[in-house]
Amino acid sequence: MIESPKIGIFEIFSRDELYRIHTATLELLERTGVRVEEEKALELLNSIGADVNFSTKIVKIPKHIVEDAIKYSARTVQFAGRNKKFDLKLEGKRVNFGLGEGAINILDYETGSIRPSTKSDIINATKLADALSNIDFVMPLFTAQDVPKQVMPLHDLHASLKNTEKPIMVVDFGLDATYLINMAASVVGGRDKLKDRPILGMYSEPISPLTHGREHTRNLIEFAKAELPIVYIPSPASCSTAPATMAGAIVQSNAETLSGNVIAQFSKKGARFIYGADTTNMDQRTGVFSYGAPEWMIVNLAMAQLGRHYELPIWSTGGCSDSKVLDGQATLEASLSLFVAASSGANLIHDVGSFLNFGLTGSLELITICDEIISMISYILKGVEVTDESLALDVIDKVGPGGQFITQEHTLKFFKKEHWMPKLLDRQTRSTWEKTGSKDLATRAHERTKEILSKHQPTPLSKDIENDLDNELRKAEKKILQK
Amino acid sequence: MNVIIIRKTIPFYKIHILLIHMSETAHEIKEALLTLDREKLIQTIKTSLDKGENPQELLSAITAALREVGDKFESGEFFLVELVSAGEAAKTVISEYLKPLLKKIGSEGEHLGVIAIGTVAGDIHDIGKSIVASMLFTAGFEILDLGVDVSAEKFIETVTNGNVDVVAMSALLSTTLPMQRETIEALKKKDLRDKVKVIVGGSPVTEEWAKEIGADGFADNASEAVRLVKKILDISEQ
Repeated sequence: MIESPKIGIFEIFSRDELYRIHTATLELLERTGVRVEEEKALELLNSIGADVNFSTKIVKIPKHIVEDAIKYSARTVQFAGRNKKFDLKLEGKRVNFGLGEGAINILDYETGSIRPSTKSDIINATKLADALSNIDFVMPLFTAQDVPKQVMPLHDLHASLKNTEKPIMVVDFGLDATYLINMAASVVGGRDKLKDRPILGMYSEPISPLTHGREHTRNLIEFAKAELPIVYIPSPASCSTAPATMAGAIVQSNAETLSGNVIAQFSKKGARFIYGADTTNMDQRTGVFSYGAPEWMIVNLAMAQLGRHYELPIWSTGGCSDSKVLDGQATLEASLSLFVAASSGANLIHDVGSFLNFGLTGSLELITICDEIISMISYILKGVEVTDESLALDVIDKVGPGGQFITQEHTLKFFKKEHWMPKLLDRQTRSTWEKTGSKDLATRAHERTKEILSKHQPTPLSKDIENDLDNELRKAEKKILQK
Repeated sequence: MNVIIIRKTIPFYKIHILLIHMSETAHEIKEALLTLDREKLIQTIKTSLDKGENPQELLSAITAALREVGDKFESGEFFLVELVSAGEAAKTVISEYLKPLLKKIGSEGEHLGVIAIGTVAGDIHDIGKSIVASMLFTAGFEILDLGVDVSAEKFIETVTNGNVDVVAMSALLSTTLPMQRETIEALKKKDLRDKVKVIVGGSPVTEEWAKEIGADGFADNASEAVRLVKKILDISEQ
């Protein structure tokens, strides 16, 4: 967590450009509009004065409605942990980091092979995130490939709720969000209490270009009414589901997330909406949705600047890679994307240390490595404190030309506070490094991961609550599988 | 030689004549497709038809040129948007100018096989499916694109009514993935499963899943999908 980065936030648009992006977005929503597949949302939009065509499901939204929705939005979103000490306040330039979600494979470090992920992999990733001090919120990094597909999101959440006290963000995957809300409610003592202690947030997506899918829209409304944090952002790929020009892709992304906000705010004023876009490019040789692309990073900067202009909490992405293995490319793409996202001042940065193979494969070791990267970034973004004491004129005067600082009180007092200490990065001399096994970063990350998993016990739920949660899962499973 | 004929066999002497007569037109068609000049392609086809050239032969020339586009993509010289754009231009001239004429003379034109492709019920993600469809078309297959949110019934109807060789199903959401299984089960119930090959794709699809639901194959990208279809239909790479 970076409470208030001192360093100037990285901004890419001039005021004039920002204004043009904003007005182009409003023009798009008024002229082209969006398709809304959910009947209830069409009626809602019709009732507030949008131009709704019920047969084509195209909704053209006048700009005052879009701007009103921005005004109604929560300026600050509380995202609670099961334990209060992990509560997050999403506002201003407070930067928080969390895992990615939805990987279908795990890179098994010991065998070097990639295999389908299971519920126990979610448990391990969650435990690890619970232990690492630079991870602020948790997403079920893996999907439980060992349960029926229709109920997978329930098990993803079930594993998360049991193994971390940090705030949890889950993906709806089009499943009725009521089930997810009920499960989280069983942990905090009911739906009303969940409003005060929102330990669950939902990540859902419009379908680019410009379509609000039926289930996703239903869930957006459901979460808005439940007053829980909602990340509702598009994932277009420039050149395929968004224009080739980055400005065009940004305008479209902005229109997609802001029209989602219209549905959320007019369903429940003050809805806890989190703004952003996971926009990248479609790789022109392979067609993949690239997770390491600089295009995604620049969109993160753009969306953060727009989000701050709207005074909405901001979602962002970092710590992921297109690489298939834990190699130089993986750490390079993870580091750069994390640094860019953090320096944009975004409030929730997901996909930390989790994704290889364009989001399809998760790696526990990469989480551990990213914890170190974030720690380094946090150090940089905190900047340099300038006070009489930190300017150190007295001690410099005392030492004078030709002396040394190592034995000075001033040094002893400040060295810990002023300096960053690596936990994972290697600074041994070559001979010591060789004597300790010549271990590379991946090996060290694996050892640390194993050690944490063998030692760390997340605070468990009480027996009663655990029973309630298990019951809630069984009830939901039965209902869904009977259908 | 780049002429592949599976369903409609053209007598050998005809191919011979085609190659001599068509060389100039074929060259122009190839140039238009390789430079992505849609207008030029349309113009060439129109002029050739006015001159009385055989639509069947023009179609062969387009197929050959598309194959070259595909090769250029495989070798990294062409990019995906160029490949798709060439495919779309070819599709337009075939459906607007050549198909109506071919129908009149009772010919379907030549192709490697018919693929019925769609995103399964409950899922409206389009782009992955469309790229695969475009690549298969470029490779020489006839495509029946059923769109998105395609029910098992719709797949069955298509298989029942047409000469479908392969059913290709896409799904992006883990919650809509089970529709791939349901569609296969529905095909079995109607005794259609043995009549077609079934392939599945989409970001959450794995090889294990494809095996589990009894699909004939899975591919994790569009180029692989083309190779897979050729493999399961026993079409040799040329």
